[in-house]
Amino acid sequence: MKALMSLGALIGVAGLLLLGGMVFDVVPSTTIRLVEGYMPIQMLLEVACYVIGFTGLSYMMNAMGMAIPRFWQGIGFWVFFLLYLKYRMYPPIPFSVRAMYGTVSLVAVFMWVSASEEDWQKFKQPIMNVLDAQTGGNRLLRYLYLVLLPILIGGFSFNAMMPKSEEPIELRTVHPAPPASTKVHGKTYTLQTSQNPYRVNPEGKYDQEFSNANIVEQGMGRLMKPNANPWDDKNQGYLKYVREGGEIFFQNCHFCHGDNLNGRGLHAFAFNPIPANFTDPGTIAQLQETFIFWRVSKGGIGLPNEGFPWASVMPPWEQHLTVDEIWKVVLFEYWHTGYYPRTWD
Amino acid sequence: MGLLAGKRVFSIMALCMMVSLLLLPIVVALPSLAIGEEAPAGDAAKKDGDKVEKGRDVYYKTEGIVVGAPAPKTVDGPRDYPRYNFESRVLLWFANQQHLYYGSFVLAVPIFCMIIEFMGVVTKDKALAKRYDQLAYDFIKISLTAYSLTAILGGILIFTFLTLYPAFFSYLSGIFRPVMHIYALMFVAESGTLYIYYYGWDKMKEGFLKWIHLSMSVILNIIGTLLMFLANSWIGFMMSPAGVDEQGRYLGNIWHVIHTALWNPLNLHRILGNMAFGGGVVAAYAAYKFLASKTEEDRAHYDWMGYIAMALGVAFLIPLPFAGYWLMREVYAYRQQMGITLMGGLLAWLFIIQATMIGILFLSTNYYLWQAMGRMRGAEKYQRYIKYLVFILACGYMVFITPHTMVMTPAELKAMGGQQHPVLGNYGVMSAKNGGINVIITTTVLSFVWYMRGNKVSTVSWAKFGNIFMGIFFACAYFNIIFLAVYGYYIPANVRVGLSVPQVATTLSCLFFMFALNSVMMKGAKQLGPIEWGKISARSQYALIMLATAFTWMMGLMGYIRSSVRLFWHVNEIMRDNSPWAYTHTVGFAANMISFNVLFFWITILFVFWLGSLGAKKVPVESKAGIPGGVPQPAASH
Amino acid sequence: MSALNNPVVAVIVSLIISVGYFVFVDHYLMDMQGLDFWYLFRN
Repeated sequence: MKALMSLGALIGVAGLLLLGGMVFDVVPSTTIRLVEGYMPIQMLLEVACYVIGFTGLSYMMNAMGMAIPRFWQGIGFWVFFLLYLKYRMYPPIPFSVRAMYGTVSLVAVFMWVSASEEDWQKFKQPIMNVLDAQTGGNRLLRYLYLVLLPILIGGFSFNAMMPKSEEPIELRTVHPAPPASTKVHGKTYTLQTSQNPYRVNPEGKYDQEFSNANIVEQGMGRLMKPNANPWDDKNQGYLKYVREGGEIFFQNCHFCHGDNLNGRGLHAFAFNPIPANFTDPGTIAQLQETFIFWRVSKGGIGLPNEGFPWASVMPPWEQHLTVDEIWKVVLFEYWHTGYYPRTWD
Repeated sequence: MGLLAGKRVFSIMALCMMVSLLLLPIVVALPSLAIGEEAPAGDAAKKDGDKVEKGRDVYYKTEGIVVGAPAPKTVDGPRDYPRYNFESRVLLWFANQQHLYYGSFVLAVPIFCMIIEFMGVVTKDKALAKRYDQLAYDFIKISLTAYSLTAILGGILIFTFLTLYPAFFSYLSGIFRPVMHIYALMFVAESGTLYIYYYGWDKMKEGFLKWIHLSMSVILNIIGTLLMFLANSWIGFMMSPAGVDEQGRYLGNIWHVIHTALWNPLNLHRILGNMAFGGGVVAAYAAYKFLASKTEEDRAHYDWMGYIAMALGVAFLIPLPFAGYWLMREVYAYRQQMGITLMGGLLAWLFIIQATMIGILFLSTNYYLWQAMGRMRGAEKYQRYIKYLVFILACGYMVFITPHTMVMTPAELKAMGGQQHPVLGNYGVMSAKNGGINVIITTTVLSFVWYMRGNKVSTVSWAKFGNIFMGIFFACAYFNIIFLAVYGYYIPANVRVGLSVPQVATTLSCLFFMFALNSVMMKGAKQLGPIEWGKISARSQYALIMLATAFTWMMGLMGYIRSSVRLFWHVNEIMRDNSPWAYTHTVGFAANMISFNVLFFWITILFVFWLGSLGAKKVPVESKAGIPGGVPQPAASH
Repeated sequence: MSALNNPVVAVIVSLIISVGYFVFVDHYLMDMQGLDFWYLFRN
């Protein structure tokens, strides 16, 4: 037990040092890399490691007779978590989300310290001591709070009232509900039932299984499947159309959406927001192919009312490309990112 | 003897009367149905023998003879949308929400009464049986005042409809004419049954008569549930119309109009929701009485009452997300557009708020259970592990509430390099969220198991194996849930949606198997000490109040979401809303409005509680006389 | 029964039952929906 706990303590100390280094910018936050594809679970595991570390640490301190009071344990853990979110996570997390996490962790800390009556007494003790002000130090603290708290509240109010020149926050609906059907080059497509005419097997029949088997490998890096190279001239059907789609993509789309399809093309950062990142699991991976077809054809100008504030500069590509070309580009995008279009059956 | 026989005859007569009350609406409705269906068609046939106009059902795709008038094309003006200098929609929203709060409360409480009364009847422990009976009586007493308030609010709602939305309401009542009459008659039947049930309580409390009384509660609940089903058919029709043609003309088949695509999912979801809500309100009532009580006995009684109400509420809360999932699935199946508007589009933000509320519900439940361990000796052994449960819960919760599209300033957007965060963006999709909520529910189950074995030590011969097995089963369940959540990222969407089923099954397996195993292990277990009712922290009672408030708020929110998904339609794709208020409110406005409704409801329900306590001033003499041994003793102390 | 109360035996038996049960649940509930649980591993 003791050995286990000291190991935990060791993890705790190492973790704290690392985080401290990141806070003071001695250690870059990319020291321990977040591995693509495993990042979400990695983050949870890291926090779990810290918790184990803290358990060990608190056990060891206790054994050495230097127990940390419950009050400071609670506050300390909360501060740790805020620092972790701010300095460990990269790219930086928006304030709104950090505020949410901060609130949740504060509630969690409260639940922890007040779960049993005994713990709650221990936690309250320092606060009660200050309020009772039996000793000189506590009396001083109490007076200090008497002065500081109003100033703090005043500061908050001042901050809230002061006019700001920041751009307003937008609650943008990235994927607004599509219309039931869309008319492109004179033909009407029902979004729920239309299919990509180029998602075909070598025999020329619509075949999603076949195309899914030939897309780029997901996960660590994006690798082509063996025998599924679209730039091989012998290919017929699906892979041939992927190549044609790729050509169209690099002639028209990659300036903004990037040669890696991650929304970081040459011109990407001239726009706000930057163009859609297709490699993200939240974009094309969770949409139907026909949704992409509709968005590409109609562009930012064709967004419905709920797409307010229509923050998209994508041109309506139906004015530049034929229907076939649009379908092929869509095909290429799915192939290259290694995602399957969403289906409803 | 003669008296008893007289009572028996009386009670059988009462029961028969109720059954006939139940049947009355149907009997009365039969001719009206016939008239509703055939007579106008007959008229039409007489006038123009060969020009019977046929229409196609928008949902069932069946042919039918056009009976009703087309949906009116309203124009903004005093004729179709008369108004005060105020947004009519908000007035209607308010009236509707209050009616629904009270309605669901008075529908839920009799169901509790039925369960608790039944528990009282089957319990062998005499003192406990009395306690249950008294509790059921307390419950119905609260709901009686609320019942008349429900009716008043229903009247206000109808007047609001008639005066502010006359065109829409006359269209709707034109289609639902027979249903509305049946509804009104059912309401009469409900009132009759309720009053007999309540006032006959003392007369029918022994032996056979008690069973009659209990079956009355069953009838009462059947009527109540049918009432709600009928009311649901109206909102179901507004969301997913059926039984009319494209112009909104009624085609003569009333069953089609009632049985729309979303009717059954709505029914189920609302029953469960009502029960959870009713449990929450009663628990809050008990908490309020607990905090205000001055004697140990009162504290013990209200602690126990709060616990029972909470347990019943949570028992219905746990299946609620699954019923919601079914409803969502049906919405997607009905109109994909509607589903996207809800989950990914315009209303997606409200679902983040909803997720937050659901999390709060489960967190408060867990917190209450941990606090409740304080009233047993021997539960200390679990308390040092609570912090790990807190950690698991918090992780599940954070994943569950992570928004898919984050609120951020343009500067943050640039720093992040895109709308999606590479780490947290992954928490925003369904796969991770399902994992999060299932982890939360499984943890709640674990807390319950700990609570149930808090003061007991199993004495069965395989106790050690049992404990290890339960530990490993829970560990594997957690692993399976998280594995399925992660696995979802690596497979295509159409396979991924299926993963939620085994995930849910895992959670439910924990619930059923572990509860069953635990109760087998704890049969005849050694008690380390009695459950000392009343010895619970005040914090736990605030958790109960929090639970109830969160329920109320969430109900308001979900109702708003369900209603506003129709966007600018009165009746989806049939009748357009041409009033100036056909837009969707901002999230902030909606949240304020919901908060106002919640506040109003709690203020009025406090009034109802106060009324109940006014009546109770006289009761103690009676109730003390009725219960041998004076104030009921805590359940487990016998 | 006494063999089962040996912690090591108990852990192994519980693991077999639990893992077996959850694999069963995963597989059959996906199968019931006409989907393949082993999708990723087969490709």
